[in-house]
Amino acid sequence: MKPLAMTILSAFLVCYTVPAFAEITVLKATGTAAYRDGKKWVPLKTGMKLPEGVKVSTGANSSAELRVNSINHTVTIKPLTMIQVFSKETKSTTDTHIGLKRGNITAKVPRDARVKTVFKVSTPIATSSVRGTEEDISYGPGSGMMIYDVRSLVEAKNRLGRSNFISGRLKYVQQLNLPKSLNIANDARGRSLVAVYGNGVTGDEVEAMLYSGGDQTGGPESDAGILDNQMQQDASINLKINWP
Amino acid sequence: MKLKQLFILLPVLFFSISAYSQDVNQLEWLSDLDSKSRATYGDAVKIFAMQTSGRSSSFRTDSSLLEKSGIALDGYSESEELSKGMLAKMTARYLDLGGSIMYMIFGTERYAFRACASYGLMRGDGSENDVVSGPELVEVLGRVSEIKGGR
Repeated sequence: MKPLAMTILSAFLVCYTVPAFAEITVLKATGTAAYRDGKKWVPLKTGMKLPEGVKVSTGANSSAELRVNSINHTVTIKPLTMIQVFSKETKSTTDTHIGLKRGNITAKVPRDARVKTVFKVSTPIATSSVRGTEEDISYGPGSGMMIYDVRSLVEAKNRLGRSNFISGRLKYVQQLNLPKSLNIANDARGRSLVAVYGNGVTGDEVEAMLYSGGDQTGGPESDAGILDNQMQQDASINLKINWP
Repeated sequence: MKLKQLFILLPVLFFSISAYSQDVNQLEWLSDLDSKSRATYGDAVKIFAMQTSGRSSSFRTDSSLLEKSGIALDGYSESEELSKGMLAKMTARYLDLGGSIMYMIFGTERYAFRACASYGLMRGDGSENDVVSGPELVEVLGRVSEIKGGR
Protein backbone atom coordinates (compact mmCIF):
# COMPACT_ATOMS: atom_id res chain seq x y z
CA MET A 1 0.00 0.00 0.00
CA LYS A 2 2.82 2.34 0.93
CA PRO A 3 4.59 2.23 -2.46
CA LEU A 4 1.25 2.92 -4.19
CA ALA A 5 0.58 5.95 -1.96
CA MET A 6 4.11 7.19 -2.61
CA THR A 7 3.64 6.81 -6.36
CA ILE A 8 0.36 8.74 -6.31
CA LEU A 9 1.89 11.47 -4.16
CA SER A 10 4.95 11.74 -6.45
CA ALA A 11 2.72 11.90 -9.53
CA PHE A 12 0.63 14.62 -7.88
CA LEU A 13 3.75 16.63 -6.98
CA VAL A 14 5.21 16.27 -10.47
CA CYS A 15 1.96 17.36 -12.10
CA TYR A 16 1.31 20.37 -9.90
CA THR A 17 4.76 21.75 -9.03
CA VAL A 18 7.02 21.11 -12.02
CA PRO A 19 6.25 23.47 -14.93
CA ALA A 20 4.66 21.57 -17.79
CA PHE A 21 5.28 22.42 -21.43
CA ALA A 22 2.84 25.06 -22.54
CA GLU A 23 0.73 24.62 -25.62
CA ILE A 24 2.17 26.49 -28.60
CA THR A 25 -0.56 27.15 -31.15
CA VAL A 26 -0.49 28.69 -34.61
CA LEU A 27 -3.04 31.53 -34.70
CA LYS A 28 -2.31 32.69 -38.23
CA ALA A 29 0.11 31.92 -41.06
CA THR A 30 0.40 33.72 -44.37
CA GLY A 31 2.75 33.11 -47.27
CA THR A 32 5.69 30.81 -46.58
CA ALA A 33 5.82 29.96 -42.88
CA ALA A 34 7.01 26.61 -41.60
CA TYR A 35 8.41 24.76 -38.60
CA ARG A 36 11.36 22.40 -38.48
CA ASP A 37 10.48 18.75 -38.02
CA GLY A 38 13.72 16.74 -38.01
CA LYS A 39 15.47 17.63 -41.23
CA LYS A 40 12.49 19.02 -43.10
CA TRP A 41 10.34 22.16 -42.99
CA VAL A 42 6.62 21.61 -42.50
CA PRO A 43 4.23 24.45 -43.50
CA LEU A 44 2.29 26.06 -40.64
CA LYS A 45 -1.50 25.92 -40.62
CA THR A 46 -3.94 27.81 -38.42
CA GLY A 47 -4.78 25.88 -35.25
CA MET A 48 -1.72 23.63 -35.51
CA LYS A 49 -0.06 22.64 -32.18
CA LEU A 50 3.73 22.89 -32.12
CA PRO A 51 6.19 21.03 -29.87
CA GLU A 52 8.39 22.62 -27.17
CA GLY A 53 11.65 24.03 -28.60
CA VAL A 54 10.15 24.37 -32.07
CA LYS A 55 12.03 26.31 -34.74
CA VAL A 56 9.83 28.52 -36.93
CA SER A 57 10.90 30.33 -40.07
CA THR A 58 9.13 32.72 -42.43
CA GLY A 59 9.96 33.56 -46.04
CA ALA A 60 9.74 36.81 -48.01
CA ASN A 61 6.40 38.61 -47.72
CA SER A 62 5.24 36.07 -45.15
CA SER A 63 4.32 36.10 -41.49
CA ALA A 64 2.93 33.96 -38.68
CA GLU A 65 1.37 34.46 -35.28
CA LEU A 66 1.82 32.01 -32.40
CA ARG A 67 0.15 31.76 -29.01
CA VAL A 68 2.80 30.45 -26.64
CA ASN A 69 0.74 29.65 -23.52
CA SER A 70 -2.80 29.49 -22.14
CA ILE A 71 -2.86 33.15 -20.98
CA ASN A 72 -2.61 34.48 -24.51
CA HIS A 73 0.99 35.57 -24.75
CA THR A 74 1.52 35.91 -28.50
CA VAL A 75 4.41 36.36 -30.89
CA THR A 76 4.01 37.80 -34.37
CA ILE A 77 6.79 36.63 -36.64
CA LYS A 78 7.60 39.09 -39.43
CA PRO A 79 9.05 38.25 -42.90
CA LEU A 80 12.45 36.53 -43.23
CA THR A 81 12.63 35.66 -39.54
CA MET A 82 13.79 32.54 -37.72
CA ILE A 83 12.98 31.85 -34.05
CA GLN A 84 12.99 29.00 -31.56
CA VAL A 85 10.28 28.86 -28.86
CA PHE A 86 10.50 27.34 -25.37
CA SER A 87 7.44 27.75 -23.17
CA LYS A 88 6.47 26.23 -19.82
CA GLU A 89 3.59 26.99 -17.50
CA THR A 90 1.85 26.03 -14.29
CA LYS A 91 -1.32 27.46 -12.76
CA SER A 92 0.58 30.35 -11.20
CA THR A 93 3.65 30.82 -13.46
CA THR A 94 4.59 31.08 -17.12
CA ASP A 95 8.15 30.88 -18.41
CA THR A 96 8.68 31.67 -22.08
CA HIS A 97 12.03 31.95 -23.80
CA ILE A 98 12.35 32.88 -27.45
CA GLY A 99 15.61 32.63 -29.34
CA LEU A 100 15.66 35.15 -32.19
CA LYS A 101 18.21 33.97 -34.74
CA ARG A 102 17.38 36.65 -37.28
CA GLY A 103 14.56 38.96 -38.29
CA ASN A 104 11.84 40.79 -36.43
CA ILE A 105 9.09 39.82 -33.99
CA THR A 106 6.38 41.56 -31.98
CA ALA A 107 5.76 40.07 -28.55
CA LYS A 108 2.46 40.76 -26.78
CA VAL A 109 2.48 39.81 -23.12
CA PRO A 110 -0.77 40.85 -21.40
CA ARG A 111 -0.45 41.20 -17.63
CA ASP A 112 -2.23 38.80 -15.33
CA ALA A 113 -1.71 39.71 -11.68
CA ARG A 114 -2.33 36.12 -10.55
CA VAL A 115 0.40 34.68 -12.78
CA LYS A 116 4.13 35.25 -12.29
CA THR A 117 5.42 35.86 -15.79
CA VAL A 118 8.87 35.40 -17.26
CA PHE A 119 9.07 36.32 -20.93
CA LYS A 120 12.52 36.60 -22.48
CA VAL A 121 13.72 37.12 -26.02
CA SER A 122 17.38 36.32 -26.61
CA THR A 123 19.68 37.07 -29.52
CA PRO A 124 23.38 36.18 -29.74
CA ILE A 125 24.25 39.59 -28.23
CA ALA A 126 21.53 40.58 -25.72
CA THR A 127 18.34 39.54 -23.94
CA SER A 128 15.09 41.41 -23.36
CA SER A 129 12.74 40.74 -20.46
CA VAL A 130 9.23 42.00 -20.96
CA ARG A 131 7.71 43.64 -17.90
CA GLY A 132 4.81 45.23 -19.71
CA THR A 133 2.55 44.37 -22.52
CA GLU A 134 4.17 44.74 -25.92
CA GLU A 135 7.49 45.22 -27.71
CA ASP A 136 9.09 44.96 -31.16
CA ILE A 137 12.44 43.22 -31.35
CA SER A 138 14.73 42.76 -34.32
CA TYR A 139 18.13 41.20 -34.80
CA GLY A 140 20.58 41.11 -37.68
CA PRO A 141 24.35 41.27 -38.13
CA GLY A 142 24.26 44.83 -39.52
CA SER A 143 22.21 46.68 -36.94
CA GLY A 144 22.51 44.26 -34.02
CA MET A 145 19.61 43.89 -31.60
CA MET A 146 16.93 46.59 -31.47
CA ILE A 147 14.00 46.91 -29.06
CA TYR A 148 11.40 49.57 -29.79
CA ASP A 149 7.70 50.47 -29.74
CA VAL A 150 7.53 49.36 -26.16
CA ARG A 151 4.26 49.61 -24.23
CA SER A 152 5.04 49.73 -20.50
CA LEU A 153 8.54 48.50 -19.55
CA VAL A 154 11.23 46.20 -20.96
CA GLU A 155 14.61 45.37 -19.50
CA ALA A 156 17.41 44.83 -22.03
CA LYS A 157 20.66 43.23 -20.92
CA ASN A 158 23.72 42.63 -23.09
CA ARG A 159 26.18 39.75 -22.85
CA LEU A 160 28.35 41.68 -20.39
CA GLY A 161 25.39 42.07 -18.03
CA ARG A 162 24.88 45.79 -18.70
CA SER A 163 21.21 46.56 -18.54
CA ASN A 164 18.80 49.31 -19.60
CA PHE A 165 15.12 49.87 -18.99
CA ILE A 166 13.19 50.85 -22.11
CA SER A 167 9.80 52.48 -22.23
CA GLY A 168 7.87 54.94 -24.38
CA ARG A 169 9.87 56.24 -27.33
CA LEU A 170 13.22 55.02 -26.07
CA LYS A 171 14.96 52.57 -28.39
CA TYR A 172 17.55 49.98 -27.42
CA VAL A 173 20.27 49.31 -29.97
CA GLN A 174 23.06 46.86 -29.09
CA GLN A 175 25.45 46.43 -31.97
CA LEU A 176 27.82 43.52 -32.44
CA ASN A 177 31.26 43.88 -30.84
CA LEU A 178 30.33 46.93 -28.74
CA PRO A 179 30.57 46.67 -24.94
CA LYS A 180 27.43 48.71 -24.34
CA SER A 181 24.30 49.77 -26.18
CA LEU A 182 23.92 53.11 -27.95
CA ASN A 183 22.24 55.97 -26.10
CA ILE A 184 18.62 54.86 -25.71
CA ALA A 185 17.37 58.43 -26.26
CA ASN A 186 19.24 58.83 -29.60
CA ASP A 187 16.25 57.95 -31.75
CA ALA A 188 13.87 60.30 -29.90
CA ARG A 189 16.49 63.07 -30.05
CA GLY A 190 17.01 62.52 -33.77
CA ARG A 191 13.28 62.88 -34.47
CA SER A 192 12.74 65.91 -32.27
CA LEU A 193 13.01 69.55 -33.37
CA VAL A 194 13.92 70.67 -29.85
CA ALA A 195 16.56 69.40 -27.43
CA VAL A 196 15.49 66.30 -25.50
CA TYR A 197 16.91 65.77 -22.01
CA GLY A 198 16.73 62.76 -19.75
CA ASN A 199 13.81 62.27 -17.39
CA GLY A 200 13.99 64.21 -14.08
CA VAL A 201 16.64 66.74 -15.14
CA THR A 202 16.24 70.07 -13.30
CA GLY A 203 16.39 73.54 -14.83
CA ASP A 204 19.80 74.18 -13.27
CA GLU A 205 21.14 70.98 -14.75
CA VAL A 206 19.80 71.94 -18.19
CA GLU A 207 21.55 75.31 -17.86
CA ALA A 208 24.81 73.57 -16.96
CA MET A 209 24.42 71.28 -19.97
CA LEU A 210 23.82 74.24 -22.30
CA TYR A 211 26.91 75.92 -20.88
CA SER A 212 29.22 72.91 -21.01
CA GLY A 213 27.69 71.34 -24.10
CA GLY A 214 27.43 67.92 -22.53
CA ASP A 215 25.24 65.87 -20.22
CA GLN A 216 26.78 66.05 -16.75
CA THR A 217 24.09 64.04 -15.03
CA GLY A 218 24.92 60.68 -16.54
CA GLY A 219 23.29 59.64 -19.79
CA PRO A 220 20.20 57.47 -20.07
CA GLU A 221 22.42 54.86 -21.69
CA SER A 222 24.10 54.25 -18.35
CA ASP A 223 23.93 50.76 -16.88
CA ALA A 224 20.69 50.48 -14.91
CA GLY A 225 21.50 47.03 -13.52
CA ILE A 226 22.23 48.38 -10.05
CA LEU A 227 18.80 50.05 -9.95
CA ASP A 228 17.17 46.79 -10.89
CA ASN A 229 18.66 45.12 -7.83
CA GLN A 230 17.34 47.92 -5.64
CA MET A 231 13.87 47.85 -7.19
CA GLN A 232 13.22 44.43 -5.72
CA GLN A 233 13.91 45.55 -2.13
CA ASP A 234 12.03 47.54 0.52
CA ALA A 235 13.63 50.85 1.43
CA SER A 236 13.25 52.94 4.56
CA ILE A 237 13.76 56.70 4.74
CA ASN A 238 13.71 59.27 7.54
CA LEU A 239 11.62 62.39 6.94
CA LYS A 240 11.93 65.57 8.93
CA ILE A 241 8.96 67.85 8.33
CA ASN A 242 9.18 71.50 9.37
CA TRP A 243 5.73 73.08 9.52
CA PRO A 244 5.83 76.82 8.63
CA MET B 1 -17.99 12.81 -66.38
CA LYS B 2 -15.44 11.14 -64.09
CA LEU B 3 -12.71 11.62 -66.66
CA LYS B 4 -13.58 15.33 -66.81
CA GLN B 5 -13.30 15.62 -63.04
CA LEU B 6 -9.96 13.86 -63.18
CA PHE B 7 -8.71 16.36 -65.79
CA ILE B 8 -9.71 19.23 -63.50
CA LEU B 9 -8.35 17.66 -60.33
CA LEU B 10 -4.94 16.64 -61.70
CA PRO B 11 -3.65 20.16 -62.50
CA VAL B 12 -4.96 21.44 -59.13
CA LEU B 13 -3.11 18.62 -57.36
CA PHE B 14 0.03 19.23 -59.39
CA PHE B 15 0.10 22.97 -58.65
CA SER B 16 -0.58 22.53 -54.93
CA ILE B 17 2.26 19.98 -54.64
CA SER B 18 4.69 22.21 -56.56
CA ALA B 19 3.69 25.24 -54.44
CA TYR B 20 4.29 23.24 -51.26
CA SER B 21 7.76 22.09 -52.35
CA GLN B 22 8.74 25.58 -53.48
CA ASP B 23 7.86 27.02 -50.07
CA VAL B 24 10.08 24.48 -48.39
CA ASN B 25 12.85 25.16 -50.89
CA GLN B 26 12.68 28.88 -50.11
CA LEU B 27 13.27 28.26 -46.39
CA GLU B 28 16.04 25.74 -47.07
CA TRP B 29 17.71 28.24 -49.37
CA LEU B 30 17.43 31.00 -46.73
CA SER B 31 19.04 28.69 -44.15
CA ASP B 32 21.92 28.06 -46.56
CA LEU B 33 22.24 31.80 -47.21
CA ASP B 34 22.61 32.35 -43.43
CA SER B 35 25.92 30.52 -43.50
CA LYS B 36 27.42 32.37 -46.50
CA SER B 37 30.09 34.91 -45.64
CA ARG B 38 29.83 36.43 -49.13
CA ALA B 39 26.54 36.78 -50.95
CA THR B 40 26.43 36.97 -54.74
CA TYR B 41 24.42 39.02 -57.23
CA GLY B 42 22.55 35.78 -58.00
CA ASP B 43 21.46 35.56 -54.34
CA ALA B 44 20.18 39.15 -54.45
CA VAL B 45 18.25 38.48 -57.66
CA LYS B 46 16.68 35.35 -56.13
CA ILE B 47 15.62 37.04 -52.88
CA PHE B 48 14.20 40.08 -54.72
CA ALA B 49 12.27 37.73 -57.00
CA MET B 50 10.81 36.05 -53.88
CA GLN B 51 9.94 39.44 -52.47
CA THR B 52 8.29 40.78 -55.60
CA SER B 53 6.52 37.68 -56.94
CA GLY B 54 6.47 35.27 -54.00
CA ARG B 55 8.57 32.67 -55.84
CA SER B 56 11.84 32.26 -57.69
CA SER B 57 13.16 30.04 -60.43
CA SER B 58 16.32 30.23 -62.57
CA PHE B 59 18.67 33.24 -62.54
CA ARG B 60 17.72 34.13 -66.11
CA THR B 61 13.95 34.04 -65.42
CA ASP B 62 14.30 35.98 -62.16
CA SER B 63 16.57 38.56 -63.83
CA SER B 64 14.11 39.22 -66.64
CA LEU B 65 11.31 39.55 -64.07
CA LEU B 66 13.37 42.12 -62.14
CA GLU B 67 14.35 43.91 -65.36
CA LYS B 68 10.68 44.48 -66.13
CA SER B 69 10.17 46.10 -62.74
CA GLY B 70 13.41 48.09 -63.05
CA ILE B 71 15.23 46.43 -60.12
CA ALA B 72 17.89 44.40 -61.97
CA LEU B 73 21.40 45.82 -62.47
CA ASP B 74 23.28 45.82 -65.76
CA GLY B 75 26.62 44.15 -66.31
CA TYR B 76 26.79 41.71 -63.40
CA SER B 77 27.01 37.95 -63.61
CA GLU B 78 25.24 35.52 -61.28
CA SER B 79 28.41 34.65 -59.36
CA GLU B 80 29.61 38.25 -58.92
CA GLU B 81 30.18 39.16 -55.25
CA LEU B 82 27.41 41.41 -53.97
CA SER B 83 28.55 44.80 -52.67
CA LYS B 84 26.61 47.14 -50.39
CA GLY B 85 26.32 49.56 -53.31
CA MET B 86 24.76 46.92 -55.59
CA LEU B 87 22.27 45.86 -52.90
CA ALA B 88 21.49 49.50 -52.10
CA LYS B 89 20.82 50.32 -55.75
CA MET B 90 18.43 47.38 -56.13
CA THR B 91 16.73 48.35 -52.86
CA ALA B 92 16.44 52.03 -53.81
CA ARG B 93 14.93 51.09 -57.18
CA TYR B 94 12.46 48.65 -55.61
CA LEU B 95 11.33 51.09 -52.90
CA ASP B 96 11.59 54.06 -55.25
CA LEU B 97 13.68 55.96 -52.70
CA GLY B 98 14.36 59.65 -53.21
CA GLY B 99 17.02 59.78 -50.53
CA SER B 100 19.13 62.68 -51.62
CA ILE B 101 19.42 65.09 -54.52
CA MET B 102 22.75 63.46 -55.39
CA TYR B 103 21.06 60.05 -55.75
CA MET B 104 18.22 61.51 -57.79
CA ILE B 105 20.72 63.21 -60.14
CA PHE B 106 23.36 60.51 -60.51
CA GLY B 107 21.55 57.33 -59.41
CA THR B 108 24.88 55.62 -58.71
CA GLU B 109 25.55 52.80 -56.24
CA ARG B 110 27.47 55.23 -54.03
CA TYR B 111 24.50 57.57 -53.53
CA ALA B 112 22.01 54.69 -53.40
CA PHE B 113 24.03 53.39 -50.43
CA ARG B 114 23.81 56.82 -48.76
CA ALA B 115 20.05 56.95 -49.45
CA CYS B 116 19.51 53.47 -47.93
CA ALA B 117 21.57 54.49 -44.88
CA SER B 118 19.49 57.64 -44.39
CA TYR B 119 16.31 55.53 -44.44
CA GLY B 120 17.81 53.19 -41.82
CA LEU B 121 17.84 50.24 -44.22
CA MET B 122 21.61 49.79 -44.00
CA ARG B 123 24.30 50.98 -41.60
CA GLY B 124 25.96 54.14 -42.84
CA ASP B 125 29.50 53.25 -41.79
CA GLY B 126 31.68 51.44 -44.29
CA SER B 127 31.77 51.83 -48.01
CA GLU B 128 29.51 50.99 -50.92
CA ASN B 129 32.26 48.61 -52.09
CA ASP B 130 32.08 46.42 -48.96
CA VAL B 131 31.00 42.85 -49.65
CA VAL B 132 27.61 41.83 -48.23
CA SER B 133 27.31 38.55 -46.29
CA GLY B 134 24.32 36.21 -46.56
CA PRO B 135 22.82 37.20 -43.17
CA GLU B 136 23.25 40.91 -44.03
CA LEU B 137 21.36 40.41 -47.30
CA VAL B 138 18.49 38.70 -45.44
CA GLU B 139 18.46 41.47 -42.82
CA VAL B 140 18.12 44.26 -45.40
CA LEU B 141 15.37 42.39 -47.28
CA GLY B 142 13.55 41.84 -43.97
CA ARG B 143 13.37 45.61 -43.52
CA VAL B 144 12.41 46.12 -47.16
CA SER B 145 9.61 43.60 -46.71
CA GLU B 146 8.37 45.45 -43.63
CA ILE B 147 8.36 48.81 -45.44
CA LYS B 148 6.44 47.24 -48.30
CA GLY B 149 3.91 46.02 -45.75
CA GLY B 150 4.99 42.39 -45.41
CA ARG B 151 1.84 40.68 -44.18
